[in-house]
Amino acid sequence: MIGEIFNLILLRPMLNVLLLLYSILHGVVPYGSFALAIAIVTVLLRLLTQPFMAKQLQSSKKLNELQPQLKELEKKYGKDRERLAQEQMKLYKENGINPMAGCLPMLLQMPIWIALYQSIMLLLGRTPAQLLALSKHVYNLGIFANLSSLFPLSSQFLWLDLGQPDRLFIIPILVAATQWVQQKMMSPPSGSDDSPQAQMSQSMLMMMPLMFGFITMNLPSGLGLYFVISSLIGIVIQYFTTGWGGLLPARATAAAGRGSEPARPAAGAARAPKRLAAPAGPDGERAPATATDADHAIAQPAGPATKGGHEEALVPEAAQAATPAGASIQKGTKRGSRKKKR
Amino acid sequence: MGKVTWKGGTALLLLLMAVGLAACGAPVLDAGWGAFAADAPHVYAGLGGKFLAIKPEAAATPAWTFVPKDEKGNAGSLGGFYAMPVLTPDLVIFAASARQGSNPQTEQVFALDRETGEQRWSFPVQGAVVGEPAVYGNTVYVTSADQNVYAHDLVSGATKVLFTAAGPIWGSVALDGGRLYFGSMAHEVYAIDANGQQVWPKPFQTEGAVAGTPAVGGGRVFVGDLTGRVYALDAQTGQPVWSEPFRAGNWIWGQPVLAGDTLYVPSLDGNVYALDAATGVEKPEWRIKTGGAVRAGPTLAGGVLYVASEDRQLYAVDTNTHQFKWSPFKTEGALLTSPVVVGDTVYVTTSDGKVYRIDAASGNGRLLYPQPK
Repeated sequence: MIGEIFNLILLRPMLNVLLLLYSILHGVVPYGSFALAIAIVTVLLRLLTQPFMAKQLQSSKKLNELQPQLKELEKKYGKDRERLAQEQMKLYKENGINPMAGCLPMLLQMPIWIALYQSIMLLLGRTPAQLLALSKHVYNLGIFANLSSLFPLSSQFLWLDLGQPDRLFIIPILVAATQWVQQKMMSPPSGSDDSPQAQMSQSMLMMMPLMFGFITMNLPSGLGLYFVISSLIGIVIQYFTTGWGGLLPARATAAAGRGSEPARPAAGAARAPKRLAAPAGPDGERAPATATDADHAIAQPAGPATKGGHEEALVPEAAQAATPAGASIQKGTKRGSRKKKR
Repeated sequence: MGKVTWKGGTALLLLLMAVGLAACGAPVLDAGWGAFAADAPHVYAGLGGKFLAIKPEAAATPAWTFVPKDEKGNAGSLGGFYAMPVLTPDLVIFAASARQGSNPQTEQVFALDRETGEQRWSFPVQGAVVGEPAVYGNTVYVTSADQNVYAHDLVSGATKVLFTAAGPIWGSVALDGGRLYFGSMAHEVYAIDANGQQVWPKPFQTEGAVAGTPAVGGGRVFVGDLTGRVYALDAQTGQPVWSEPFRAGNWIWGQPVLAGDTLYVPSLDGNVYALDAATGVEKPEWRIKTGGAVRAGPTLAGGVLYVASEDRQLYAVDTNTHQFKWSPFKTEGALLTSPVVVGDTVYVTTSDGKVYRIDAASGNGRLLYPQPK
């Protein structure tokens, strides 16, 4: 039932728009028209879903701003989980934040990207069973009336047969590279931060692009092309949102060292130096002199001067989007507390 | 229970994701939608990664099974069962994707002894074989998605490329008067002789890709395409005979069936259309409606048209009275291949790998293979 609704309102329109674009482009660019159709639809969808993306980023930022206060609560009520949850919710309420607000936009746009992915998979199908499955989704009305005459689609693009894996492995490499760049831009410069979260972020930063590159080796290259285009658009959007972010840590650090924030601050540009300036905690323990020990940093009080430093340094946006904020805070703080006791 | 540390947890998470994603991306041998043939003593079917023969009266255990083996004798597996097998007096000939040991997947045509399942010969082709091989005299004709029509001599064992089309060939060849008629996914219909020479001045251009097999009768070639159009061509010249093609509601994939002056055309829109073979005009009162796509061509036997539908039902229609002979026989899987009639028994296979045996007179049937334990 849900599958049918998904097919009706998302998959079929997407697939037929792709086909229509292909049919228009095919007259102009006989070779590569399907690749162009994928590119155009991906760009259009990225633009359409941009308001959702912006909301997601905004929500992440708001949550980041509350990190110091959340840590204080953790310190205060760490042993009473129920009370901690209550206080956290109270804090969210006071600041007008819905902790799930960051997930909602992501969840809303997920079906759209799944529909595009499935459309490409269906259209690039090479076996009779795949073509039979495709036949159920092709419109036969109005401007879509003659789309069936397009099959089988011409899938040649440059050196690629879009329906087959790229045997030169250029597309898988591009997939991994562009995803790494995009994720790197989304994360703050980690420096020598060895907190568990930072380690996890760094692992994910390397592993996810590698894994995507790996699976693209066996997928139709048309899908790989879609991954590359999608990441490239993501990079452009990310640039206009946060600048180069963690991609250019040296430049960001230098800019911060000069005491002035760059016009378009990189995600972590102003963070590390501020953390260096963190004052001693209220119990007299000295805050870390460098940004090397995030566990200690977590234990720092939320002083006005350090707030900015704390607010973004702990959990990168990418990790936050994938991990409930509360969970990462609790884990980090626990370890921080243990260290402190020692 | 031990507590998973962040480092351990991260590693575990990444490992699971790696395995999951790798599994998603790994190439899998396409199973096909089931292919089978039958004679009185046996049903031969490509199911579950192997090719086997079943004796209907003792179907619990196959009479024999066949899987290809590599040079070291390691058993491989089969898949891509799209093409129906064909029988000669002593051989069952079928096409499949084969994976032998650590060797990469290849597309092969196999000939097995009908009684023992011993492999007699095989030859590779470069693309999937979707249309059933056709035997004419001492020659087996095989079409392939590699765009070729192959001719294999049963006496000498020699195989040659008889003709290369402009696009993949998914349908089989229709044989008539020493000529071969077939269509290609490049929107063309061809007529060639036994030497591979084109008979028509040029191939007939269709609006859509031709994925099915043409039907030949009364000096005409009937063929459907993926836009739902049906064409009637003069077998000698390749010129269209009807004033305009008939247009169905969805793709036409299965082979049309000519019964007297009526052409029955299956369509993925769920209908089997009855057309006047002379004019291409539909006889709407004779249209057979099913609840799912009719992918395969109907089978005509004893004046009854057997229609296999994706709605998991087999329909039997008397072509004289145009009434259903019995209530549709229900199966548990989609029916995507043509029924096979042997005497008073109808066999069908489903896309989930089951073979059913139905009594042609009453419509009563049962699951033949695999039998419930």
